[in-house]
Formats: sequence, C-alpha cells, structure tokens
Amino acid sequence: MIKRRVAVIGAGMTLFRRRMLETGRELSYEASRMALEAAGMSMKDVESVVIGTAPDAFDGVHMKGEYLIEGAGGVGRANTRVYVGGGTGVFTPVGGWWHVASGLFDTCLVVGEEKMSPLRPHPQSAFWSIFDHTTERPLGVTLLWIFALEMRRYMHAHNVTEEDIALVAVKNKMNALDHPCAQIASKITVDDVMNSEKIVWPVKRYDVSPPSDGAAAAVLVSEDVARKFTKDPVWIDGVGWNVDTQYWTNRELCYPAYVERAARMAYKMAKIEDPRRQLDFAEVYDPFDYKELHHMEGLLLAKKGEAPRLTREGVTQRNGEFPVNPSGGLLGVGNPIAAAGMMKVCEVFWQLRGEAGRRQVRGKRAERGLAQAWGDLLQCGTVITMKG
Amino acid sequence: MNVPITERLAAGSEVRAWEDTIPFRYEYTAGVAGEKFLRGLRDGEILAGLCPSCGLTSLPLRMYCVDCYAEVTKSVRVRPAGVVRALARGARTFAYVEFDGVKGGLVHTLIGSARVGSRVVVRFRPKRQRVGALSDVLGFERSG
Ligand SMILES: [Zn+2]
Repeated sequence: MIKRRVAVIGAGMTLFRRRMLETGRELSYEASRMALEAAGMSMKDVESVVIGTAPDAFDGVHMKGEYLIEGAGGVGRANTRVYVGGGTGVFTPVGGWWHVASGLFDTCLVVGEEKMSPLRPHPQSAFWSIFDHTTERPLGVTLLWIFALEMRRYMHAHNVTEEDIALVAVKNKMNALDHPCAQIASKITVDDVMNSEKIVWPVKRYDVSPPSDGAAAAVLVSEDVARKFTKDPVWIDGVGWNVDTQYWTNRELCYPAYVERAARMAYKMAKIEDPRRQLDFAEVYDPFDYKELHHMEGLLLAKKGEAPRLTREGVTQRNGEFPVNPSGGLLGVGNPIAAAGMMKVCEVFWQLRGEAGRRQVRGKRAERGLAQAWGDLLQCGTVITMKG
Repeated sequence: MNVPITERLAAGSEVRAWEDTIPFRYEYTAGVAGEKFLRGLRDGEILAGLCPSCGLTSLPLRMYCVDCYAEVTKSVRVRPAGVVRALARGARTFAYVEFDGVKGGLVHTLIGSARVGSRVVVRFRPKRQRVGALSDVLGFERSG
C-alpha cells in the first residue's frame, strides 16, 4: 500500500514567546528558512508545502492557511493547509508524509504556526465558540472547565493525586531549561504547583501550558532525494491519526481511546509490537500535566493508571529508562498550538540525529522516537514514529 | 417528502431559535517588515523591499522575497508617484497603483478623479498628524 519511504532531513523553529513582534507569516518564514538551511536546500528544491495552523480565531485572520502561504513558501506550489485542532502540529508532518509516500512529490516542506497573542483579553476566549451551541454554550463553559472534568475523572479512576500530576509540570519545566527556544522553563517544586492559582479545580495555573506565538518546520523528502542531501536521514516509519465524536460526553474520559487507535495505526506501520521496549523515548502531548500521563497510557507506553507511578519513580526523566518530553514539552517550551506539536516532531528529529545537545536522552543519540498530539474537543489523536 | 425544516418554516416562532454572538477582539502587530513600513509612512515615505539575492524590489514590504524566498532586510524609498492600474467607484473610489520599477503596489483612496493609466502622486497627511498607520496616507491624486 505505502509506496515509498519518507525521510526528514532538516528542522527549524522560532523562539516560543507570549507575544512576538513577528507576524504569523514572518514566524513561518523564519522556521521554514531554518529547516531548509539545516537540510542544505533552497526553496527551489521544494515541490509541495503543508501548513498546519489551528483556529483562525487565534491569529485573527480568516483563511489563515492562505494568509500564511507566502511566509511558509507555498506560493506557486502544491500548497495545503491541514487542521485537526490541537492535534494539527503532528498531523502536519503526517500530511507531508503522504505527499511524499504516495509518490506524488519528492519534497514537502511542513510548517506549523500559531500566533495566539492578538486575541484579547486571552486566547482562551477562542475556545468558547467550539462548543455545541445547544447543549454546552448556554452554560458559558470554557475549555479549562472541560479539562478539569477530564483531569478529575482520571484522578478518580486510578486514585491519582494532584501531587502525582504536578510532578509532570516540575519535570517538563526543568527539561525546558536546556531548550534555547523555551518560553517558561523553570526550576519549580510540587509545592509551587500545588500553591499556584486555582483556575478551575483541580486545574491550577502551573498545571497548564501558556499561550504562545511561534512556528516550527521540517523538510520531508523521498529516499532518493534524502541520499543526495544527507548521509544522515531520519525516517518516518509510522503515522496514525484518529478522530472521535465531538460529544465528549459519549466516551470514558479517563482514557483517550482515540489516541490508542491512532497509536495502533502508527505502530502497525512501523512494526512496533512493544512500544515501551522498541522506542527509546517519546514526545507526548502535554498542554496540561495530567495529559502527559493520560496520553502515555493511550499510547500504550504505560498500563492504564500506571503512568503516575512511572513518573514518581523517575522512569520518564530525561535520563530515566523511558524519557518523556525531553524537550520540555508544551509545559516548558510553550504552546503555540500547531507549532507546539511540530516542535515535538523537530525534537524527535534532533534526538535521532544526536543534535539535541544537553537535551539528548540518556546523554546519547537515540535510535527510535515518537511524537504525539491531541486535539479538537477531546477527540483527536495524531501520532508519528521516527527512526535514525 | 423530506423538506428541510427551515424551508417549511413560515414563521421563526414555529421553532425555538435564539441569537448569540462570538465576540472576539484583537490587537495585531505589524511584524518586523510591517513595523518598518509603517515608520516609513510616518516619515512620509513609501518603503519597498529590496531582495539581496535576485534584486527584486517589491511592495508591500516583507521580510522575505516573494520571488526567490531570500531574507529581505533592506528597504528602499519608492518615488511616491505611480500609475493607476484599476479603479473601483462607490461612495469612495479606490485605486490600485503601481510604482516605477516595483513589483506589487498599493490600494488606497482616490482623491479627485483619474482614469486607469493616469499618473498619480501619493498624498500624505501633514507631518504632525501622522501616527505610523495606513491612514497617514490620504490617498492618490492625479499629477500634472
Ligand atoms: Zn529575491
């Protein structure tokens, strides 16, 4: 079925910051140019472009895919925008993958962008309009409210404490101290998380990633092109995605089955039977600290309810037996939605090339890694596995 | 026969319906290139980008070259006189104007009258009134 192998040969990203002067186009340009330079390519070598960006409501520009096109290098090329909410960042290289794997193109530049700062007073307000206008919007709900329900359900199902969950925020913000683009890297304690402002209990300020501006990009190519430009390609060997109903009330909130279905699709393609053993590390979507645990279980990297224990025992530390979010994740590096998922894919690339510097897992080059994102209304999983 | 309910409605009161709004408010930045362009307007200048790689001069000012994708950090002052390429007449008349030697152009209000092909100049607000916005330009006015 799959026609051709697809390699990643370059990656780049901008700083992630609360508010950047650069427009979304300019952010896209900076990340794309870095990825092309890393690949040793120029825009002339690029046949197709896939842009990933989340709701238009953030940047405040309708038809954002079209708006970003010239910064992302899509002008005059086969350009596509893909969008699955927060899952977009990892879905963007999945889109690029099928451009190349299908044999339709030899090269595809994939770009994730988000500029959340224009929306006032806070980007959270954009999410208000995603809810069902009959059953949910009349309540004035926000996403934080729904995450609080999901977090509480997860805590209840597996007897998990808020302190267990806080360990994830502590780890990721610490990891991010070694990331040159990080927005909110810091050395904090579980007490700091526990004492941070209560937003909607059990969600507290430090449980949550920040809104950010930023972009990240990568160059995807066919095997023939990869051999021309590098001796060191990284292969995308598995992709998966899965979307559930928008009625989040119709599923068990303590387990993201759609993430499992996406992971199983990717694992099957990559011939991974035991992900914990066959992968060296994972970049798991962590817009909230509990989501890292939730997603580790959905990705079959931990048994149901087991992720908090693995975290407590240090397994997921950068030097642990199975590092999770060595980049610092969304909680530490920042969360410009589509760029954040794309940042995870870049991190896997840098880890597999041995270019992650002080972030290198267990201090050495990794052989196999995974990036995952999650989005829409608690309903979508996107997964990519890569190997050196 | 299955007729969509909305097509069968003789009056809105036959079903329960309500009004709601999606209230978004924004604060935009002009960006690295846009900031430079707006400062130019404040100084009474039209700035175009000059590509260091292919030599293209283009409007509006951008961070990158639209033709070759090289980074553009240099800007040049465009002589504020151009040619009307298209007009749209309504309560206000808008003109699309191109400048000599520049790819792309600007759209703004037409002051007075002109035809497609007329040469026009850019009229700026008096210096004291300029704030670094598109409104620092009053519009295009026929020259000669
Ligand atoms: Zn050029």
